[in-house]
Amino acid sequence: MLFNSINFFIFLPIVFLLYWFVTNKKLVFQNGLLLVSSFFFYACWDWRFLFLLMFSILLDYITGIKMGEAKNKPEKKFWFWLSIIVNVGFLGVFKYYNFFAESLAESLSAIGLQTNFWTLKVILPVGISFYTFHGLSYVIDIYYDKIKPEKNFIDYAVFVSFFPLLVAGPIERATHLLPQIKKERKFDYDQAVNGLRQILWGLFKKVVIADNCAHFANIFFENPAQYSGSSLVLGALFFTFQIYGDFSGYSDIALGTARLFGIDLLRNFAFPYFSRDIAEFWRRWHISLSSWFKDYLYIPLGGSKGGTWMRVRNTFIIFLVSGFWHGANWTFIVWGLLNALYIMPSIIFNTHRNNMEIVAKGRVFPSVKEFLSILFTFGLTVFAWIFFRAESISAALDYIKRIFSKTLFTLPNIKVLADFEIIVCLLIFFISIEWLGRENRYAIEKIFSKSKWIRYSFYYIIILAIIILTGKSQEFIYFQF
Amino acid sequence: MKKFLIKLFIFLSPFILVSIFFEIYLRTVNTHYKEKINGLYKNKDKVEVLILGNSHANYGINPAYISMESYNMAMVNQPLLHDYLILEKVINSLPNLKKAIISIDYHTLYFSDDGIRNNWVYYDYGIDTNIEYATKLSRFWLGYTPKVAFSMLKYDIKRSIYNLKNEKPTLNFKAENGVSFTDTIHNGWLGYTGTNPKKFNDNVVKSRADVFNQNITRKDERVKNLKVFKSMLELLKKKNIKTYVITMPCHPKFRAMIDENVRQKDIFEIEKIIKDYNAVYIDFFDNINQQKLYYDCDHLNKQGAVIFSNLLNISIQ
Repeated sequence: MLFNSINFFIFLPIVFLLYWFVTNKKLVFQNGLLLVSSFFFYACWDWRFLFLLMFSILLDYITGIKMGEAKNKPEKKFWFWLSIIVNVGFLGVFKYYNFFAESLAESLSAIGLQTNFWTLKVILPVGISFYTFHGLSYVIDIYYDKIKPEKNFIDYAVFVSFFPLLVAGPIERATHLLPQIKKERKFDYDQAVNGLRQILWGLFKKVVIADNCAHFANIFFENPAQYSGSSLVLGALFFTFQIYGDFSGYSDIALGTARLFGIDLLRNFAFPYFSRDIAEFWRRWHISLSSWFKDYLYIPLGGSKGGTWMRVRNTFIIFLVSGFWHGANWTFIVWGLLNALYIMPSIIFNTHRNNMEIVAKGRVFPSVKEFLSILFTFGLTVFAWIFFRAESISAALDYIKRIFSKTLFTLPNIKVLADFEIIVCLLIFFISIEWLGRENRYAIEKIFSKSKWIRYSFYYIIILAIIILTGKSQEFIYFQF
Repeated sequence: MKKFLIKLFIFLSPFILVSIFFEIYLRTVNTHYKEKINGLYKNKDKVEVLILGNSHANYGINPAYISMESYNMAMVNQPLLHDYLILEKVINSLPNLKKAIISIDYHTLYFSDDGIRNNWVYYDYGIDTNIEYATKLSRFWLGYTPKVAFSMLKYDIKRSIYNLKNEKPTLNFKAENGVSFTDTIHNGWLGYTGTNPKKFNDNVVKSRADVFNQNITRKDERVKNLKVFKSMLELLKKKNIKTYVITMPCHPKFRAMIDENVRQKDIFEIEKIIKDYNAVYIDFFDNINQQKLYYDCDHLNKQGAVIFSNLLNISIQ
């Protein structure tokens, strides 16, 4: 079930009403309802993979308890590694097996050895990277005695499968979400309104911004040979807004939906395109994944303790793994490495924590220096997204080669883009609202909070835009991860 | 909680009202589809030639220039499956049907799922291609989508205002861009007016051809469509109806941008299949070259339709 489908907008009110009117007497009923609804939500995509999700939940639940009951370190270690190997094994088989088999076959054929590896013809279970990471963080935290194993199966299962975060995050932590699931929840009017507002903004980002930009980006990325360098720059820009609108829009809907049920999820985006350097960008983009890698990979690898060389090595590892997490394709790996290169100067010269504050806090406009920094960081990001979007490394290189041709200085071919002017106006509107709301958790959280009428008019405009200006429906990009 | 629900209801009430209005409006409004099917049933005892196909045939074959009583049931983006289901639905209601013309163009065998138009043929023709139950219920949100629904209402308002000031009749349904507002539909046919020079720009023609060139990579669709094609021929043979399978003309600029090998391979396949049936294949692909006879690179305009329909008329005698 997609967040931007009618089915979801039938499903959500039903679950919401049952949750607050029928099961509100007892927490166990509420959590039971959340679990059943979450399984139903997942089964709507493909019921067969529900068993895989259930198996993953059961595995980590049991290994968690076994680790808690372990009488000695080796026994604890055994259950820990069992969970890690099975979890990573599933991810490896479903997500990476074909990639490794094909890459090995290609490498061997390059040295003259012809091989025919058996490849799997399975579809990637939606959300597998997300729920596997939920489970992994849980068992790692138990192993390092940060949390106690959860005894209540329903509570644990809701933690992993809570439908707003099930298929594309944010990647939650047991320390943050489980206590909320175990605590009695009372309906909070302000929280519910806030949730609806965030859903509204998320929908706008997804169906108006991302889907319209996707249509334009696809035109240029599918046939780069036909277009001038300047047109291809435009294509990369549209993809940059597509991926932000798509993923942060999804996260907004997820966070808003969870809030309707009295649950606060981890923030996933904090206006990353207003970052002044790449380190800041990565503190603001897909925050739940970046912090997951920091806590469960960077710090265990030694973090920043071992001096510059160790910081450099660990940063490269993090970005390499992060790229690979996104998908079984060399393009994602190059994208990760490119970002590692971008961030490297700030790691070496220890300037990566220079921009911790919100840009131009308390001011309407940024300073010239801030503006130029934002523009430069944005440019680097746009360039890296070319690898992320391209089908292959050679396609990305070809795209870049065509950008840096004589035609870069000609006018872009906008004739092929229907309603180009409308989409550009929408983007300007979108960027302005995001800029004005950058000090909040999401852009329209406190918009026009002093005037009810202006605020309501704004909501109606957003809804009308969603109804009238919806782009051709595209699947959420992060579903494939 | 109560406060939340009441406020939410008040906030959403304009949208609820708009939804109700459009659900009713879209059930009563006239459409190109309704006009075609109603026209066919009105002429059911007279129709001798039935024309099926996509927009190429829809705009390019004017029944007025076919010497036998003809009816054009082709439609924009109409896949072979819809052609077959229409034929299956209406064939028993057409006692005098002697000939059928099926247009199979460069991309026809590779094109089947037509998204939104599956809903429209369900609503207006009663043809169910397994559309979702929710779509059957909500015409505004799913069947037509708000964007299309608003454009239909806008057209109706524009038409009503025009009718207040003028006596000239207007189309009482929203047609595609390029069709004149004051035209009339005749035996299912409506033509494009004039030539749109922008549509002959190299990039535009290339983009158009690319859509088709992309379609022809769908090999699974070809298998499915050939099956449907055989079923159509089977049905027509059973009713002893002579079938003419044709390829509609396209402008030379467009022709130069498509894969001729694929086209020839498909013609070979079609000719092989029709041998077992009471059918003939005629290739008109490169029969008309003048730009002034086309609206865009692959659609004839009214003038082109006259020339082509005369040509077709001679060929099917």
